[in-house]
Amino acid sequence: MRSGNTFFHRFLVAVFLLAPIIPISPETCRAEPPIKIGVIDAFTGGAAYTSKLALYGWQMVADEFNARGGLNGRKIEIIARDDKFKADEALAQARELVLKERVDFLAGVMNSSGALAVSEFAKSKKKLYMAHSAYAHRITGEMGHRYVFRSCPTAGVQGKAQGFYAATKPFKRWYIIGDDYEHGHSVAESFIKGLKQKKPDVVIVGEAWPKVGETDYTPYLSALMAQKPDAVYGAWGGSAHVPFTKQAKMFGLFDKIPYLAGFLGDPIFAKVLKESYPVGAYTGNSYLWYYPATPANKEFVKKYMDYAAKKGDINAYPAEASFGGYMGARFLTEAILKAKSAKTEDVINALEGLTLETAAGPLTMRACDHQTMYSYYIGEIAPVPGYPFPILKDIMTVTAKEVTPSCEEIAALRKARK
Amino acid sequence: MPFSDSIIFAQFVSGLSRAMILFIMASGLTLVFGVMRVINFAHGSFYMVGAYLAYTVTQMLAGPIGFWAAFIIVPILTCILGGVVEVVLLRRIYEKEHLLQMLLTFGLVFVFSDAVRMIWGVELRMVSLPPYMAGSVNLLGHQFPAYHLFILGLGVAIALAMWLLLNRTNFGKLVRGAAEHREMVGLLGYPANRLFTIVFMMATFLVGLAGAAIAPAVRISLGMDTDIIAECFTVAIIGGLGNVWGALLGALIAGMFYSFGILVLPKYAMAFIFILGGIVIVLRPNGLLGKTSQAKV
Repeated sequence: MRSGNTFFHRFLVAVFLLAPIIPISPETCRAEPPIKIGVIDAFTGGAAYTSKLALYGWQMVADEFNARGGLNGRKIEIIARDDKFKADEALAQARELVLKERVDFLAGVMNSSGALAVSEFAKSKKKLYMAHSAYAHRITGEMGHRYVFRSCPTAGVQGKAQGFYAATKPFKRWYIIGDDYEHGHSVAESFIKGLKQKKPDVVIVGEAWPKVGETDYTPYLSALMAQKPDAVYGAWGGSAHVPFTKQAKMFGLFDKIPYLAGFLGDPIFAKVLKESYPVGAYTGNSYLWYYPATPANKEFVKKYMDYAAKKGDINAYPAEASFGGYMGARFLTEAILKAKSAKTEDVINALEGLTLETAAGPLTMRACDHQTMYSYYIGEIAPVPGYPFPILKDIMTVTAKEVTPSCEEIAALRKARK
Repeated sequence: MPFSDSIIFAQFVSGLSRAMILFIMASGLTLVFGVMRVINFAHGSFYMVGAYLAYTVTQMLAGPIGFWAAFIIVPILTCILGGVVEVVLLRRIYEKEHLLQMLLTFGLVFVFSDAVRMIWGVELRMVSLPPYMAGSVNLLGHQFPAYHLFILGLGVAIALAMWLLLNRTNFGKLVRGAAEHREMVGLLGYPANRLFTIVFMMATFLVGLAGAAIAPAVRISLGMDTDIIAECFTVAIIGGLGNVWGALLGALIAGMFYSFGILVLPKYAMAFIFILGGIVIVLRPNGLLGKTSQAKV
């Protein structure tokens, strides 16, 4: 080797050895360690359109928290991971987030089975897990524990509220159709219980449980209509609404038979279904962007839509999923500030019983079961002047107290499980 | 549940329309396996691409014009895409073992899935029907969606077209020969590679047509590729891989089993077709219409 090359090689080696110093600026030396929150959800696949809304909520709150200086300079860092709507994948991601990324908190998981798995894992690692879009009542019911919290409603509460509403209508012969998985069955069960409680003479004339992800409901629709029920209840998880409603409209179902289903009032469905949107059908949500039209709600809607627009999502009215994610983030950050600490045990103690003023009025994270107490707003889909798509009219409010199981009931369920 | 004549009629018609959808999809799949001996896992992915392309076409050309244009443009696009995939990728692995072929098409599923997500995003999309197709038609006192009857007609037309192609043209003779004995076709001097490309393009044309046809009736979402593929394969296997009429028979059986199954044993209706598939594989591995295997010299 010639001497010139040797010098050059030594120079290169020196550069490579010194390169790692470059990212270490005075700023990064002084920074406080971030508070890491691992948000796991179905960011790909059929459920992605709704999990991204919940993530908007987390990011909005994190940005605000960090802008206000964080916790003594400690800022929130959100690490989002995809679970592909699979329980085993969610658990694997949770493991990696806790053991490798060393997150301070876990959140997310729309798939209820995944949420249960992550919840058990969080309990074993003594990490706080905030479920924000999984509705199975077991999560904060018999499978609940100190380390799991839920910022969205339960299928039990919503189903029962829907049952109470249905009891105010004159329909006696009901047909039930829904997604064949935990959520569908649990919400239908609660619906029937709530309905029969207020209207004991009701009869269920038939049931149908197409598989999750079914694309062709034709045989179900033809069988349903041939039964000629007084009314139909749809126990759908969410995305089934699109093909089912489209096909039901083609069958002329909504012209002939009254239809009640949860989640249908989601602004996404109004947008996507357009002329297939079932005006005249009944539905409800635990959060509505237009009702009650309080200043707090209007402010939240504006903030949310501005944020979504920045992400490229124009005219994105907040859905219940958005609100669940947002409230999860708000409860967690407010608890951190209240406890003046990001340590799990301190935050848990601060969270229990915490009441926040929100766009949906005051919401409490109940201490006995770590479940947020939501009311339910249910009514009839109708075009209302001044609104970009049909919304609910004649809204009936079912308060959290009427439909939430008591602390004693929850305690009994958990005890029985042991 | 009482089984009146009318409910039997209702389920018969809806079973037929379900069968047609399955047939359009399974026919392409079975042809590809029969001629090329390739198990194309990415079949459902082409279907999904077809549905999303139909969405884009109807966005660019509004109204009924867009709807009909999609029927023409989308299958042509998926056909071309299929041709590219075949020439660039599949052709390199024909001589290799089956496992490699399966892995390649399986890998394509992921590639397509991500590509669709990158191009169209995660939003739910919808294709609208022209108003004269969106209503229901009264048949013997039952309402049926006009559009499903249209799909029924489309399925019949495709079945007829395939029959003509396979039985009345030289090309069809070639395809049938290749399905029965691939090596012989090459030995007789026909360019096997070109044949394979054309067959694959036919299959992707059909499945793109299926995607465009079904798009207005279902949800267009990122899970479409995997949702349908299992049933599609089972239908093709039951009928006999390589046999288009087997695909039709399998699809009819699947449609009827499902349609009536949900009346009798609702919780298990979905399993019927897979149970039948299992029975067929054990008792008659070449499918109901497949020939019993000949000894290969």
